[in-house]
Amino acid sequence: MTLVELLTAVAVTAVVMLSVYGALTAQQRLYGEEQLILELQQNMRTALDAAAQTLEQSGYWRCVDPHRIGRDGSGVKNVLRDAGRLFQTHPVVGFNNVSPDSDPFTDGQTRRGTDVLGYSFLDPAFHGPLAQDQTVPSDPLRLVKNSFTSSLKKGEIVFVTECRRSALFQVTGVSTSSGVVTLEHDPALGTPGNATRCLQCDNGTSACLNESACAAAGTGFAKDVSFVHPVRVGYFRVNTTGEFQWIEGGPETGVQFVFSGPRTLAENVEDFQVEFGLDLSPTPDGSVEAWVPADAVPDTMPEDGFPDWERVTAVRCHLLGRTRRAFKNYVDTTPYLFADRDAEPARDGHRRLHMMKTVILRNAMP
Amino acid sequence: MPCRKGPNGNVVIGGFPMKPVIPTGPCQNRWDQKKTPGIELRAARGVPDGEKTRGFTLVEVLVAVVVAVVVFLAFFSLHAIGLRSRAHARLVSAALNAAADFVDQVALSGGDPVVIDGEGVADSGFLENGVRTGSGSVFSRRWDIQRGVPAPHLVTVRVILCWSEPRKPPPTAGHCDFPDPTAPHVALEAVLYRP
Repeated sequence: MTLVELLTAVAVTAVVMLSVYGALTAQQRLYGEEQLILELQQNMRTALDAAAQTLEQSGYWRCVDPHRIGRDGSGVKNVLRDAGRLFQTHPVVGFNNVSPDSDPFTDGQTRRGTDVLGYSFLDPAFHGPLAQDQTVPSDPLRLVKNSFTSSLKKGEIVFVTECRRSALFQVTGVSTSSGVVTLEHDPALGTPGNATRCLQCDNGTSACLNESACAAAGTGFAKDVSFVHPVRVGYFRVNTTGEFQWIEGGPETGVQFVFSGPRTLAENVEDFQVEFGLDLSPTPDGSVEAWVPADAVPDTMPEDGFPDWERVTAVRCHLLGRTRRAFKNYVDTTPYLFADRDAEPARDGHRRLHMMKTVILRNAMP
Repeated sequence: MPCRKGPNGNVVIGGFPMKPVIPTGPCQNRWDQKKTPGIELRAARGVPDGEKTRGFTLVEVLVAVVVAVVVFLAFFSLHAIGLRSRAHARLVSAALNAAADFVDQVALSGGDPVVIDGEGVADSGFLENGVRTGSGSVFSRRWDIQRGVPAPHLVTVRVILCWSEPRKPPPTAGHCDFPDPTAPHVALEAVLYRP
């Protein structure tokens, strides 16, 4: 073999090896990118599923018809609705494209332009039977001690119902003795959501009854047919660092009902948009006639200060996430348009994924 | 192809001087050479006349080149297939998400007609390139809603989402239909309870 032949062979081999190496490198890069996209997809799907599992319970208030609440201002759920804080008793509430003025959270960590979605329901898994017949609200509430009732804390907001009538109040003290858990409450205290302002009963047909009517003979809560459930209230939002957060309400060490300790469901989320499915039938039938953003939910009773959240029978959640690192030789020029989002293409190297999930609020149906 | 003697007495085939390893008698044509065992044609370019060298035959070189081309084509076609699969998988994921949303919306529709995205639709139909996702993907949708099937108070929902891909049938009504759509598609079927 001559030197020329050898050099030619080496050159040809080098070209071949370089092209193979280039192809393998490209494959490796694509594999890495797909792994990132897969990770993003799994995170977003898991986050939406987790949010949906909670949202599907929205509006569960045992015997209380959520559609009636808020329409005419009646109902025990309205007791704390004007708390002036994040506590609320609607099946869902929303804040559309939050700005510094409309951000419901005081920490200033909500990502501007995204939506915030709140929910409320009674904890259906909670088993809290009464230990004796009660004339709530004049008496402390005595419950059979079990693993559920033992976990109740001061500051928790609870709902007691025997279906014909119900009461909603905040626990101002908990004591345990000889198999009985005693919940104290104090109607004289001030701000709802902070402490009990008003303890009222709802017989399901008339406007919210006052305390004396609730405590009248025959209007109490009978043992064996009355149960206590804590109220679960929470929110989903995207914070400024791109975390899709689940923020739950609960008592602090005092009687304060606070929203703290957010849990991160997914990272690298850029947008969270919510559409509300409205049942606009004169007689609610559970079907969705229109999908609207939070600020377009109708308000047939402006005087109560709240939109008709009880008309919402479904929510459609949109998440837009991006890979945790940018891709080489890629520029994202896609205009991601969903819900009422009006965003410009990011024009960076991150791959993005839009995912949506429609959640039926079964408990909100008539 | 003519067979003649070159200036050095080498056999010249197709303009390339080739040296006969085993001298033979009269010049033979290619047909004769093929039929004559022991004949090898060796590259003589740059090789001193009369010097015996070893090398590759033209056939060997051609076979090697063909094999290399086939291998490289296979390798790079795999790469292309990978890229196409990547795009396909992404569309499947988006289409599945949209199909599930359709079923959810049917479940939310209490009356007749079914309301999808705020508009009433018939129980069966086809919408060509009318479903647009937030990522900008466009799908055609074929759906069929059968009330009272398979039993009273049950509703069977079938939906197919089709899309366009190179060298595949387009997502038209004919290619995106039950029971066997030929366009790239995802199909979803659900049975809903409707008391």
